[in-house]
Amino acid sequence: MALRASSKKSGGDADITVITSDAASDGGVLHGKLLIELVDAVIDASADPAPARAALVAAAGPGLLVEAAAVLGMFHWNDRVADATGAPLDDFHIAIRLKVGEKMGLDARGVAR
Amino acid sequence: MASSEAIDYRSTGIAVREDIVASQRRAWDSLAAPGTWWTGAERVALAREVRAARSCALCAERKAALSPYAVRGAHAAAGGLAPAVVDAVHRVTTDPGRLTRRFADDVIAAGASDAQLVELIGVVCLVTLVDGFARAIGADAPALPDPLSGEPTRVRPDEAIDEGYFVPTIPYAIGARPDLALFDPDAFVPNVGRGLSLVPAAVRTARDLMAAHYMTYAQVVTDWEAPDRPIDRSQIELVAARTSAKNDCFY
Repeated sequence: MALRASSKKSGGDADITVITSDAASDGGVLHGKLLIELVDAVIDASADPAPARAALVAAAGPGLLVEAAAVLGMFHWNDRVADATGAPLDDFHIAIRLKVGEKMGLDARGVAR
Repeated sequence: MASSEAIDYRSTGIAVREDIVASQRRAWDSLAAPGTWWTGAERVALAREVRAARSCALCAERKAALSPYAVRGAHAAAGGLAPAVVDAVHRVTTDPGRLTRRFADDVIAAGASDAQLVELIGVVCLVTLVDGFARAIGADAPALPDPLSGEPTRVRPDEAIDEGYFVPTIPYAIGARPDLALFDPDAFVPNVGRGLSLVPAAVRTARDLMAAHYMTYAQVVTDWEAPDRPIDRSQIELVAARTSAKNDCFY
């Protein structure tokens, strides 16, 4: 998984369970909690993203907000392409996917395909 | 409205990287122009439908239902598109994590071609990207462009085959050939990167947006860090993974 690999490279040890946990936390990533709160508020149509946006800017500056927004936007694209075209999992993803899915409880949430 | 006027985030007071703005403007220009299978007016109508879907009561009810096919009714449609097309746009916009082959089969059975469906998906993805970005930084969703006149090219790539997706796709080895230049040569391109390849123009738009908003596919499987961006790779991947989880995408 890219999060875990990138974290290890930089000397960190990201906790990948933060990706699906209900409560936001850093998970070993600098400003991780604030980034998660921003993503959650933007995707939840009933939420107001302003507090999450302001908190991230206060802690890390507007540059990180812009970069996070860009990645979020791109994954709105990628996720919909994958799901709407029925993109098969890549071969190398399958073994990783099974391990990660077990750790994060993804299979308990159900996989629509 | 010209894309340079629509895609302009200066009113937020936040400096947005110029290549992000430039890639969004190119994509917005392409949205207004005749596509491969839809006219400019139809493409803008599809985009308008994406925004209508977000306040559609039927979509909200379906999203809350155990099965997305358990609830019937009429969408709060923006207008100008066939019902099956409206339904497809709304489903991809609001409940992408529960799309199955039935979704694609239903749209095609209702009269759209598989290539029209692929182009439709590309339009939904574009509007969702731009609107999501704007919402995240506190900007209004950009105005949709005025459609340009003209006819779609209606060119279907002979190279597209059944590779197990819901729609035909172009294999990497073929799409990477210089004559098509759809994919970076000698690079890993994941299956999602080929999902829209039945409409090559949609893949080219995706590559342009990817490089500015995330990274190129060639960089994804490397230790690449952006030297000029105030975000590190683990932060990038955290945002990406959380977004996918919230979209119920487990690709």
